[in-house]
Amino acid sequence: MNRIGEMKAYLETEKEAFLQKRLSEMAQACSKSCGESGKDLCCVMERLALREGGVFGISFLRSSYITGKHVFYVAHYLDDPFVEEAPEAVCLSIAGLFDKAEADSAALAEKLEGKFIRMYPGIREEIRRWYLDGLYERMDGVFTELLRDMWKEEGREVLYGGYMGEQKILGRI
Amino acid sequence: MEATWENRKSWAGFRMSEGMPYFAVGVDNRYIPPSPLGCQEIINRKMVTLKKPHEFPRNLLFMVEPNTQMTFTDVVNFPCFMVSSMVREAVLRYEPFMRFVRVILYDRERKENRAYHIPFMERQKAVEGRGTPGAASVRLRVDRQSLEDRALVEITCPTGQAVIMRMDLTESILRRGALGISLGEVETVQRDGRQGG
Repeated sequence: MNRIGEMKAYLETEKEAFLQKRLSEMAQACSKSCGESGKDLCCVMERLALREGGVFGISFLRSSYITGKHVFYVAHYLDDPFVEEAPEAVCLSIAGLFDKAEADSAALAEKLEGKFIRMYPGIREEIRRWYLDGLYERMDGVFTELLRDMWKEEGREVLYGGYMGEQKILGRI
Repeated sequence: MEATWENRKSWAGFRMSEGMPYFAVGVDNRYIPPSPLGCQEIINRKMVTLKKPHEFPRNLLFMVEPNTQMTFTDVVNFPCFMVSSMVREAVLRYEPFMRFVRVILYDRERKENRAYHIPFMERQKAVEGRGTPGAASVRLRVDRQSLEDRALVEITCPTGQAVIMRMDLTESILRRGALGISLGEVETVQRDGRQGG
């Protein structure tokens, strides 16, 4: 496992190419049809929007690439994000969007086999988690597409980022 | 819209107003954790249940079984549940009064050592438990009120003991780069029969 840093450095370019392709395909798929994931997300946002004021946060959960459920934490905060003890929130699974992403991480691990010996299952899993972590971090564009019918010029901010991590503004609803 | 909101199962997710979800935490079986040698008479699950932290020797050091695939994972299940120093720091942010016993694991072949900490957790009984505790396939049903919103709790079930961790603590350790952790499903139930997270 002490070779993992070297392995990640070796895969950096390949990972970036996979990420760009995957994110663009996900956004394209969502722009054609928002599917069940988009419908569920809009339904959740509409329900959360019944409370006045505050901001909305969509946060990725690292635990969900370990469980494989690809769950995102969608919340309405009356105060700053993650300050409120029990905000109105929902954990929403959008696993349907991730089939090809799982295949990408397997392809990355296979590429390593040509360069490194003794590719243990733990190393393959570590590469998978690293790739999906990178994907989650950059899924703001996908959520922008999923919520495209809800965006307004003025309104309350919708933020995206890691759970209890840095948040960026997606737009307003 | 209302029907979908109330039917949380249709999202394969959960509403958080009934409390934060928990995960059964263990070692992912794709990783080989350190396996301490000759420790069973000094520390084991039963002793951790019966003894108090101050009753353990102050300096515990064990050699680990040589294995080229071994990784110092951030959680270890054998001989009892132990966590790395990074996880201990995170746990203390959520449970500042939790007590730990320190154990050093030494890999003689690699000349590497790592400190682990045995947490002394509250214990609760599972309403229902299936699968091997510590494995990702474990399925637990736990009474939410009895958890009292604690971040780290030991659960006893018919097949053994499992450790469950609240979602915020889990995310905190994963953000710090926790290695080799598996997460299993925990369903919490309210005493009135409602399902929680």
